[in-house]
Amino acid sequence: MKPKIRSGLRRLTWGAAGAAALAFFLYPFLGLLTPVGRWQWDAGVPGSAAAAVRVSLELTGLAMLFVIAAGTPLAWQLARERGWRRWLWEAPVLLSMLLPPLALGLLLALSLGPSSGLGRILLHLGLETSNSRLAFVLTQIYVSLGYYVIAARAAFAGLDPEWETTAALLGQNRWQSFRRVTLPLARLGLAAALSLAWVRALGEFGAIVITAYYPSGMPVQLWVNLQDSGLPGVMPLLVLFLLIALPLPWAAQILAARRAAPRS
Amino acid sequence: MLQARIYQPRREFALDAALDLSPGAPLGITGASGAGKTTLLDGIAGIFASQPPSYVRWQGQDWRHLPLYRRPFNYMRQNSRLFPHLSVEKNAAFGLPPARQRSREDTEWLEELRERLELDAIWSAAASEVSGGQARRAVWARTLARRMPLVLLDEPFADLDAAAGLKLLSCLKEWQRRWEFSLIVVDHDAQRLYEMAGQPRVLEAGRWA
Repeated sequence: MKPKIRSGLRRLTWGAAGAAALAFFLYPFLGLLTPVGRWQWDAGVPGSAAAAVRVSLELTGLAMLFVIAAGTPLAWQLARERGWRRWLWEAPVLLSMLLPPLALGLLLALSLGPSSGLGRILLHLGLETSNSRLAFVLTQIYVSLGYYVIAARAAFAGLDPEWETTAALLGQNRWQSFRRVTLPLARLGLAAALSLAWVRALGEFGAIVITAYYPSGMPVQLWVNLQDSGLPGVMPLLVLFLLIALPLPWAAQILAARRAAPRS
Repeated sequence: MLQARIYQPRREFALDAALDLSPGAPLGITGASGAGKTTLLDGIAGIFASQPPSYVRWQGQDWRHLPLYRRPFNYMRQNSRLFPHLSVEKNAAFGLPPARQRSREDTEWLEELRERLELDAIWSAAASEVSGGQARRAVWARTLARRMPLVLLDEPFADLDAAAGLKLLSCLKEWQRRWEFSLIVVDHDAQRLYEMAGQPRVLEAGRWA
């Protein structure tokens, strides 16, 4: 076969494979166009959808503040550790990511619930650890922290350590170097890490349905609506859910990937 | 007074060089590539922990346990680059206090560096937008902006054309006399070092020739 024809065939094959992959990833969105009857916003209980949106946004925002505050230094430390010390730090982080959500929900309910020692102490202090805002936030932190830490670690590890040496040579202590050099240079990678954690926490269902059925966030409310009114009761909240969960993280990921590409 | 001895085994040979430098005195160091010049400067600076019997004392103070950021010196490394997320101005002033808290003397000195190093045109440009030679001059400004009693320069004229190199050499001579800092310059060009600091010392396979 002539080389020209061969290369044309190869390009055609790759093009078709690419188009098939693209179609595969985008196909589920066609579901939004499926006729399911008249869309219902509150599916029975007035105000329930709006309350679910508020709960999800407020509590996920709170969880993310904690994830950033605790996860950033942890990721920075992890990026610097080598050998068994790194393994020691990384193993529990990975474990938290690998736990099936339902199993995690059950474990959290058992270890933090009112029958556990810690749960009793917290309850004594007036902090309810089951079906409460606290339980909601704790579960979200647990499911998303690992994703943030691993992605943020990669962002820090990708930086040349020479930058911090240069800052030190200019009289900056470790904290100043971190704030003025490391953090701004890693910012896109950190934004991508945060977006992963955001999607993970906001979309969490399996663990939260066990630990914090109330206050219902969007995923639990979607499930309740599905049970109560079928697909028409799900559609409006589903659209809103996608609009809240996807655009920012998507943009952050794409931007971070573009910046991470080698420069000429 | 700087008193230093750096001992550091390397693959081909062990660097073992001692030097004493009086306050306000310049010293040029030259030698073939791989003779240990950069390792010597890195060792004095404390970039790595050199092995016994190494020592570094400045005005009688032992530097071994002093963190890098507290050592009163400026060091321009061979591979020093501008911080890519900052403008040239922010890079130059990186080691100084924020503009509002800066002394008048510091501000005037920064302005002088901007003019003499011909950074006016690129002063507010992003560091990623400037050419190699411009970046090098901006690194000069960043290194010298903090006035410190000891300055180490490793191949400071690399990336500069001959005319710019000559000009910077005369600037450096003038500033060194004015601020009276002790100066160690590493360069391949023995003639240039001679003009700067008299007879240079030559490092050969880790030892003074």
